[in-house]
Amino acid sequence: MVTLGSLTNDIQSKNAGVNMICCDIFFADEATFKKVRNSGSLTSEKVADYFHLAPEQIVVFEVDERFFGYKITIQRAQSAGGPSERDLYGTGLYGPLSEYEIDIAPQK
Amino acid sequence: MPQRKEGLSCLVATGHLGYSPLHPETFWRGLEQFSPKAIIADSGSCDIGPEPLASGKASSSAEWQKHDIEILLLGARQKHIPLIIGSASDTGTNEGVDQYAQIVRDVVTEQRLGPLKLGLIKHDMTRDYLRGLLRQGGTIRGLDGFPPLQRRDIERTSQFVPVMGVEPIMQCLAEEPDVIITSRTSDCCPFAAFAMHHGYNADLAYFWGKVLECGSFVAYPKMVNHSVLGTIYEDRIAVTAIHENQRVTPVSLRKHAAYERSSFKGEAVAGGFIHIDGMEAEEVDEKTAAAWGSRFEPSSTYNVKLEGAGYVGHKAEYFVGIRSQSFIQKLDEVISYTRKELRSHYQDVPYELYFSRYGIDGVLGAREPRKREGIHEVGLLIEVIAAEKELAMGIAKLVGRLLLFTPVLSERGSAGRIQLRNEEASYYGMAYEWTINHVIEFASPQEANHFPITYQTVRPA
Repeated sequence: MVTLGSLTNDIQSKNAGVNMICCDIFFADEATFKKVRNSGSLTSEKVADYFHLAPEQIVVFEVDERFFGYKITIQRAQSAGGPSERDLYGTGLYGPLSEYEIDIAPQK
Repeated sequence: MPQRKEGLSCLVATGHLGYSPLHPETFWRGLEQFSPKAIIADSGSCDIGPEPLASGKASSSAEWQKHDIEILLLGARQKHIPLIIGSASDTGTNEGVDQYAQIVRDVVTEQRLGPLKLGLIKHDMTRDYLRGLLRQGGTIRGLDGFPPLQRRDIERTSQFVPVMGVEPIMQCLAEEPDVIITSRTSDCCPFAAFAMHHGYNADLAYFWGKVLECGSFVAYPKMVNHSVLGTIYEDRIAVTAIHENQRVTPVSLRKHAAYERSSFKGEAVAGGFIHIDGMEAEEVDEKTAAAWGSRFEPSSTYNVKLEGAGYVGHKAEYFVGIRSQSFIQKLDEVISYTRKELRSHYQDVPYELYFSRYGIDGVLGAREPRKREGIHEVGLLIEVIAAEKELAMGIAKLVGRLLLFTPVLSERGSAGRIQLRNEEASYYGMAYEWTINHVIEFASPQEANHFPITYQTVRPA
């Protein structure tokens, strides 16, 4: 197992409108991207499970094969900036995504 | 059309004018080095939450806003190129347009600039207009899970803004003002309008605007408020980093093209959809990447988005510390007991009470993936929202005292279970929420023309 953060330093999350948060993960090279893709570890179901979400709360799960990127968009529990808001800009998912484990062997 | 071969360029010095002060060094360097044909700045966002719109108070400091406008205006006048500012003063209200216009007048006087022609684009939509639309049986469609707009949504909205497309800005550009200030517009539209005004095609113009609207955030490594240069050609767009440590790369362009958007496929603006999933990009030089392959698809109706926000109540916050293992282990139980105790004191009074457990799951709440282990200290934020300030403050304080002496824990001798930073809770002010996130579907851009334009000549006073 290795963490996503050890495979790329290009991970972000951010509001996508007032009701969603989008996560963007890009890999610097095709080899790393393919390794992650082929591992089967980064799927909509597994990300939902990781963040304790119902499957339908992952609104978008897209892969960009040309630029080696993932877009994962999550429904907010409530619209941004309302009562009990703790992450107004929706930037907080990049931390746990960096800790997300991918089932490939660590590089020597 | 002019400038076809060499393209049309603009300098972008900030991703959100006024939000934090822009860096003048890269702006002046870019202005000298590239001789851009315009300076364009987006100044608005709904990222800042519902508060600035509902309260009518900008999220940015007036000092930073003036700082940014002064630098951009000095540069624009020095080179005799237009300055276009979209979504004035964070939210793009009419008051924001007036506020920025006054800053322009002040700077013109203080710096002995001008005379210059100022174009102001406001909006003329009122809550009565929305009530009328609903009365006539119209539907105002909700976005991203919001149900269709109801009368009660309008009543709990303090303020709303319609989001203009490129048409009003292009109409204004045709009169060749030196400075344009707009009410709320899609972030990409001031750029797209400038390009389309000069004859460039919509397929690339909107895309160009989207990758430019955040300024230097488009480049690697991410830095804010440094200048970048955008150039549009007939068959491609290009973005050049100006800061010595930044580069624009094919991937940084691709990533930014879908920044803050739910899908890699693109986004909707007034009048259509910007498709970016066909985009291709290549490196041009060590600071520049170019891209092409985007497509603008006009929609069957001309959809104008509305953003509206309102008050929920008064908000009190009380931040307390917990440094006891037994307390941390029983925290859930203590909290639910405290809720019950509190309810017995405030039986018939509506209030909202939230706990955020910093150190456990304060940021992500129920979505936190990490197991709770090895935690020795928790910061507990108590948030209370109620109809009156005194009520919210009183409830927050009582929650603190109930926690201080909670009987749930087994230790016999503790003199206080939590640790207080202050005797009193803090009053935040009002609490807010988004009330409108909808679109009005007009038959045509003409029918959607709710964006009146005025011009004035500004001279040093």
